[in-house]
Amino acid sequence: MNGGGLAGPVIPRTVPPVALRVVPTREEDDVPTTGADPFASADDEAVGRGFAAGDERAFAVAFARWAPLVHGLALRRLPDADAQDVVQAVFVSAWRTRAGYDPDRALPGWLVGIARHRIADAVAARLRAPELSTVDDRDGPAAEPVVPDAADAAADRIVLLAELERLGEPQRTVLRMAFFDDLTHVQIAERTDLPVGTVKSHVRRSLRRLRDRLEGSA
Amino acid sequence: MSLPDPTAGPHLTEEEAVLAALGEAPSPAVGQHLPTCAACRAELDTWRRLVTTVRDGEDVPPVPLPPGTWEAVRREAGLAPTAPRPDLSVVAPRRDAPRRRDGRARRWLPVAAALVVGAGLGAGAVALRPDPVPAAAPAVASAELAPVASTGRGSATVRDVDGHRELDVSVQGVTAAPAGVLEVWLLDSDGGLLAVGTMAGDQLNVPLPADVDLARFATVDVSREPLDGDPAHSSDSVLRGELTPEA
Repeated sequence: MNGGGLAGPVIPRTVPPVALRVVPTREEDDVPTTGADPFASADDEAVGRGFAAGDERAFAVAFARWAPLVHGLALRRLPDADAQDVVQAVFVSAWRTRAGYDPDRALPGWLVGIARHRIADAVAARLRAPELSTVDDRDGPAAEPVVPDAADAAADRIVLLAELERLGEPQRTVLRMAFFDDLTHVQIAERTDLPVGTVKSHVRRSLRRLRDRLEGSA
Repeated sequence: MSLPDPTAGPHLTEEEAVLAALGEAPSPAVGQHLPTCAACRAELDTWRRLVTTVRDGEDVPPVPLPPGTWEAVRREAGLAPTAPRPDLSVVAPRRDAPRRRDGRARRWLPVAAALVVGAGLGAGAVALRPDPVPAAAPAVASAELAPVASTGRGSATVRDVDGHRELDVSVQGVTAAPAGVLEVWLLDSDGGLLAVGTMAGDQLNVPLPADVDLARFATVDVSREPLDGDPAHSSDSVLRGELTPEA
């Protein structure tokens, strides 16, 4: 057996909020001082709520936090210039449609949902573009259906991990143990002092929630 | 006699499905039901994909954006020029996405001979025959194995070797899960199943006891089995095919 014995009390591995300062990046930017930005070091949930409420500071922080991720996702399917266009379109669209964002959901998951559609549209547009076609046809090649691939799985993973972080306690700890510590529900019950039935119920409900959120983002 | 119900036992509850998807050993009832119910297998596969994505999915590395992207977003979104700007010079630290710890073998137990007791199949049935079967032995029955859910293929052949029967199974394009094995079963149309043996790599050759009625146990099933010590079918079938007698 590797890994030695069972570990002691499991401390949830919390992800510290990413510290971001909202400050001018260049001297000539002449951005007015906005005072202490409440979102700069806020956790993801607070940023999501600020964004939903139409707070531009929260939007700016959301961009800093997740635009590079959306960019990375887009670059899996698209060349540089198109990927940058997609990132831009995703965030413009996110801001305009923020009324449709439910702040009980993870904001990165919602952004990834928008990104999936934008990326698929951009891929389809490239396939239609005659100058990219290797055959000299007048109508352009038919757009191939976008099939699930590794890029979609990577997007799924972003959504799922973000939603996992949004679970309350003790559900989050229970599910992390089931996913990452490979513990059975009985072992989780022993470690958390929760009844076995409660652990099973948390596992089922939490996984159902993750699945619903994932299907809602696709 | 009425015809048997094609599905054995009740469908999986959502709780049973999610626990099985997480790798917990299914109950015997679940193990009996799953090989007979495509709907429950499909549902379980959906949960398994979710679990695999969370546990072992690939991470997307964040890629910094060129300068001016925020400005373009700000303009197009109609934000005032005085809108706050994110400080992109602070590179967000790469978050270490959670991963399954290396100790995933924690639940490993010495695998018992994966035998379904009964139906006259003795322990000798899983003993690997030391000598390869001469290819010239006449085939009694054979099956092409097709993927149940994803990819891969295989074949199963029953041969008459010096007056007793042997089953040869070979597969391509399927792998056991990490810390798991591929196991071969014979299924009947009534939800019954016989554990035939565990594949070594992509091959299996075992003697078939004379009592095994291939007219009844006519379906060859290859499953992925975690090494969890549970002899029941994991319900994770990868290949399947019908044995047909050779002319």
